[in-house]
Amino acid sequence: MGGHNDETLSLTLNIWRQSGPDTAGDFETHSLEASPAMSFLEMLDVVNENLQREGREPFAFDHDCREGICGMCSLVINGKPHGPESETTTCQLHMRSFNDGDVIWIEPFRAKAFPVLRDLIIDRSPLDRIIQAGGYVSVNTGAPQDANALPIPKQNADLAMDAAACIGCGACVAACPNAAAMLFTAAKVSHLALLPQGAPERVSRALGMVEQMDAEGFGHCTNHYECMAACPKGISTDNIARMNREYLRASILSR
Amino acid sequence: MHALRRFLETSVGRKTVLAITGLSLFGFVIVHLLGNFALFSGTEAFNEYAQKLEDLGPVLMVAEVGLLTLFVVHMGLALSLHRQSREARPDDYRIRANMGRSTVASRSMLITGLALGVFLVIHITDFRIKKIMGDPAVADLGQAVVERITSPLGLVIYMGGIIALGLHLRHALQSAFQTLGLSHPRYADNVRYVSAASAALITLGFAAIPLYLLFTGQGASS
Repeated sequence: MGGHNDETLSLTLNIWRQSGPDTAGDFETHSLEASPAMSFLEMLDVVNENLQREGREPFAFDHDCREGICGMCSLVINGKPHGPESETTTCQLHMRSFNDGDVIWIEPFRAKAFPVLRDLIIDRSPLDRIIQAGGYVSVNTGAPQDANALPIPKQNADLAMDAAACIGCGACVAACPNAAAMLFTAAKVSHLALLPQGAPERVSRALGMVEQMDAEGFGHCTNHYECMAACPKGISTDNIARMNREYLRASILSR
Repeated sequence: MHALRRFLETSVGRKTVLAITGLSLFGFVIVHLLGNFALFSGTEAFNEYAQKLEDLGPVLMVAEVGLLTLFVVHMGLALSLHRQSREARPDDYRIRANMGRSTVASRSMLITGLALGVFLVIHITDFRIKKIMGDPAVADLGQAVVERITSPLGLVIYMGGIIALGLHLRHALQSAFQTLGLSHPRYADNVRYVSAASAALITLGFAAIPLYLLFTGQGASS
């Protein structure tokens, strides 16, 4: 914010360094003078620029839109996925959330299903495969139908929209003591289960996504609800209850 | 059969069975506690109640086998699910912060569950198996129970078991409802309150029995 631009934060950064999926990693310590107005990723950009100037290898980290909607950024900052602010992605986290003299620990999301590719970059393609396992949504071709031909209760539209807010970043997996992908999968199952457009494939979608989730090597849900607290989009664990219902229903109805 | 196997191969399916067996065992714990309350009226009343159960004959045997099955299935599934989660994060965080939603009860489910398993083995060997074998030490079952739970070692084991039970139930009840998909904003808060209250009441109920016996001087005659 304005008025703080002349202040700087003296930070000690412990950043995870790992050359590949099969090598052991460790923290590397760096000191940095950062502006409180910087975003967390801009702060890492400065670390990398300094490293490059010294002819050293920069840290690899994921980022894309830097406006909190793409789900590419990750990082576990001082033990919390996406850092200390609630409902905030790492890219939207600013250094004003930290104090002068702070020691900051930066690690990748950790799960067997998310192998570290390099430094802070992990492979989150298991989440893509869970979505693929959900299959398709039938769409009729031909002349466009009337806009209001499919009645959808306002409440269901709202709940579906809340579930669809999931950006697939994987913070739920990172925060879960069991490394479960239940909140992610539940959000994806929910947002289509709540809408008539998702109805024809409702059974196969619930079965396919739950089975893929287990096949990817994620853990099981013990209802700690740590995922909901870590989710940058505030996805509710009510969706997990809905997926459990959907899965039970699908198991009974499947042929 | 194929559908059932497919169901039990997923974590969500196994958790559903875990929740149903857990809720059934919760029902058993309530009945067991109500039966134990007979001790407030003395060992005579307790023995009469025990005799009424014995008089059920084959019905009691079916119930006991059913209970044992519930326990074995519940523990077996919990351990298999736990192993899946252990394997899901082989390389743990170096720095780990709590997000603030998990509780002591939720994080200690495995430990309290295992403690209850150990307690159960001691409990069943001490009373039920000795009774079936016709051990004279438990001929007067009420007296044997009173002496056991008011002796120093017995009291410690008993209270340890009850604390484990209370902690386990504290998380288990609302967790079972969530797992079965019985969660709705309209009643989710009530489910949480009732879960917490029943866990507390059951803990207090079990703990009250040896304390009452000790304070009224009916403890172990030493």
